[in-house]
Amino acid sequence: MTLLAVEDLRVDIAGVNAVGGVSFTVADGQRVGLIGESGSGKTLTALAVMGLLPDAARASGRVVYRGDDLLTMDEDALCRLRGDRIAMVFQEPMSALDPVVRVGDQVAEPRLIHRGESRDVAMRHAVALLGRLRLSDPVSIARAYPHQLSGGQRQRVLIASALACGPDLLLADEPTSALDVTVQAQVLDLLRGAVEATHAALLLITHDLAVVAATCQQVLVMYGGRIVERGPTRDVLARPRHPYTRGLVDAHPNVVGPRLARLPAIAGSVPPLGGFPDGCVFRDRCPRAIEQCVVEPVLTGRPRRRGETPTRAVACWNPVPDR
Amino acid sequence: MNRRRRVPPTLIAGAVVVALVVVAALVSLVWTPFDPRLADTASRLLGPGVEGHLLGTDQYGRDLLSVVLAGSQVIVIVGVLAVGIAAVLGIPLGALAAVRGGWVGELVMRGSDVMYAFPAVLMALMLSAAYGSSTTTAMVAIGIAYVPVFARVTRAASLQVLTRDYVLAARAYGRRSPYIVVRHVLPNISSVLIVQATVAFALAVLAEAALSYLGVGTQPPTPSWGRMLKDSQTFLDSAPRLALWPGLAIAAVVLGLNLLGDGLRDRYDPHAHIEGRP
Amino acid sequence: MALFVLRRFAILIASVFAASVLVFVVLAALPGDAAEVQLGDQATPEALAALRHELGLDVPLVVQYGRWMGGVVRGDLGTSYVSSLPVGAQIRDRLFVTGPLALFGMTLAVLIAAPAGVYSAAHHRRLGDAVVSALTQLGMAVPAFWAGIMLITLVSVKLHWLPAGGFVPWGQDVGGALRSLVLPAVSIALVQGAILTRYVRSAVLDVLREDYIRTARARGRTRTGALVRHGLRNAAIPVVTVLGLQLSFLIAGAVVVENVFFLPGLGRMLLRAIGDRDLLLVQGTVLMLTVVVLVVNFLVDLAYHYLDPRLRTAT
Repeated sequence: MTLLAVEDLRVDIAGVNAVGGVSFTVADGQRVGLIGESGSGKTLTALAVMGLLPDAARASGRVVYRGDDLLTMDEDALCRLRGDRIAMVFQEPMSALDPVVRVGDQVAEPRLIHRGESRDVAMRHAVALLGRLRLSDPVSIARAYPHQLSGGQRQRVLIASALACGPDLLLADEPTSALDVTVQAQVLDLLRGAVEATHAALLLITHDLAVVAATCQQVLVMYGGRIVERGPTRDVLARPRHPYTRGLVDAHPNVVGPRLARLPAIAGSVPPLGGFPDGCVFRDRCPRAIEQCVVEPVLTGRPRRRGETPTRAVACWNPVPDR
Repeated sequence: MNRRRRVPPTLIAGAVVVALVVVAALVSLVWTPFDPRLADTASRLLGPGVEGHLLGTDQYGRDLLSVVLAGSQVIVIVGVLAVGIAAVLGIPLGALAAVRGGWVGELVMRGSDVMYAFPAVLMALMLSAAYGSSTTTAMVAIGIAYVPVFARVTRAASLQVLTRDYVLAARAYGRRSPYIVVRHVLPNISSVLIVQATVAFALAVLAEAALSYLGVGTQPPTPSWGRMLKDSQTFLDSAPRLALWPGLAIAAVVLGLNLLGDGLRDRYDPHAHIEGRP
Repeated sequence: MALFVLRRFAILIASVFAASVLVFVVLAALPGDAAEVQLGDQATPEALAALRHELGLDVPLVVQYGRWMGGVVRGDLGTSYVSSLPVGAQIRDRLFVTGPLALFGMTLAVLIAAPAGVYSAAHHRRLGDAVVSALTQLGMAVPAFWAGIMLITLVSVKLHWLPAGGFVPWGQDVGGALRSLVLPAVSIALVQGAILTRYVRSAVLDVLREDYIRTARARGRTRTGALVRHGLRNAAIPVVTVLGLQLSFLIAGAVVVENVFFLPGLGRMLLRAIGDRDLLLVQGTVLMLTVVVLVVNFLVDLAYHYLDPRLRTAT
């Protein structure tokens, strides 16, 4: 069952296009990864789904959640959904938590808002949740303030507050990027386990291929505010078809395996907002660019069976050939 | 992107008002519609527009407009000199605290904390008790009271500049601290100091007006808006305009200075730490 | 935490002594001879010497300071040369006017500034913010004593709603005493309120930009809910610090405004003392006022460290 269907989402900031015509779906319980570097528009996409775009931003298109278009929903209805059915985990756990409120109260907050529970009842839920996220001594943690916790603990607190009401859809924006590598793996594991246990869907935003490989069933590759490739994770990472995806995969160092003389890098760098070329947004940096690329390619793929939506799609006039 | 920053309207409005005041002060030195010091008991308390007196006359028969215009002189003098004293003493202190750091810096900061407990009015009252009341005591007192403000702002701004690469490079070349301060630090913090100076000027105007009102500032016969307000209090029922115009003049000058300060800050250094201005 | 309090307290004591030295230097060390002032030009040298001895002026300045401060620490601020009345008692009597006035004024200012500042921040870049900003600009530019005079003209002279001056003693009629403080407190509050409004606005705007506000909204809080539950408490922290800093301005304002309304407080006494050249009285009064400011700032410092849990444990 399709839980979330994003159709032709566009986000403009102060008149400059940051997300241009993005479409994808997330099914019930599905774990989808959204990969891209900074400046690709991935965070804005998530914020658009939540309805938490900055004031200077304008969104258009459709974001359909269980039949309702979130972009046209009034604020009160959105508030009822946020934190209850659709929740988000942010990137910087230190600044995302209120420094003067105890952590337990922050985890309990969604239950206070949406379930009308008393502080005691909500707190008990919060402590239990913190325990399930493998925080030792959850009672003490709940009484602590954010600055008294480590980065990994804070991120688990953020995840807990997002899961408090058992949402259908969890958006996670770089949930582990601010953490040490060893802690990253633990937290990702917990995130995946929590989402699986509650049958929630996950949209995981990251720039790290390894994170997506470990956690997500489907992956969307984003560049310049567009989705350039989409498909099952294993497939896309093993046989990338878009030159950008190929570049990302090639640039990912193998810790084991043959030593490389040089790490292959994608030529050029990500342009600032408004600096992307017409037509295919990647063509300035693309080793496979052809004349046709001055026209913007459409995300297309061959369906396995007639009438079905193709699971694998790429937006490229000259994609990397199948080996 | 290198957009030319627009000049904020507050800057223009403030600059215009301040310029008008300065012009009024200079012009009134040589000319006013009537002689501001000439009492004419025959023309006491005339209404506005009567006998060529645009704003009327006061209880001594003096033309109100002329007295108000002449009152701007004291404002300008006290403002400039008080801010001058505060800057000349405060800026070197602040720079010293920033460069030396350690206990010297601590001492300067603690000292300025203590001085903050002495607002300008209180300082001036003390000096008047000791030395008698005059424009000079008021001016000196206000100046001294604002030394800590300049010291703190200079120190804070200097500390930021001192960590910059060009300062480190200068030190690597063997430049000594006084040279660095004069050549590198002061020019780069000048915008903050200028904004702080306009704020101090505005506060100095308010302080001088309050002191003259109390009788411990500018003494007769020198025209002063504060003292005019004091004299006007007995006539509030019959001629409230005597209290209106000097007060409006004070408010206008202070408003102009505040707008000027805001405009300068918006234009040159929006994130600067300015004392006394939210 | 205890160590922190002790450290701050030690600094407070040192500051009080530093302030007392400043007051003594300005008022007792530098000016001319108090004996000459009392006896005048025609006094004989013997009379002058006798009076100097009686007043304790023939000993070194440091000893004079020591005697004065020794008395102050024991609660004795000396006896005025001019009126022969004890300084401490005079100050205490006047405190019952100036204290309530300052408190009243500050309370009104906060009552104006808190909602106005929050409203202004919530309507940032819209008309509401512009209007409040314009009003605060005017409020800051107006001298408090002129506001008082204008209020008298309007409220007392034209409308006869409130007295134009004078003070009804507390013991006589509490209601009357309060009524005599209304216009003076409002004059102070108009200016202080304008300044505080800007600080509140700035603090709230800073807080609204913080990530945890977005997190609160992601949990389902409305914009207002997020602001109230998470914004205000965080914004209060810098505002509380400012309250302490503004105290010396408030006191200066009270001193001047008392003279507008003929209130028998410290401000009027100070002015009379200056006219009478009653230096010991001026010394005691100024010292008292600065000590109040220093003590309040010390308390505000402690409060600020208590309010922010990050500071509570860090020290």
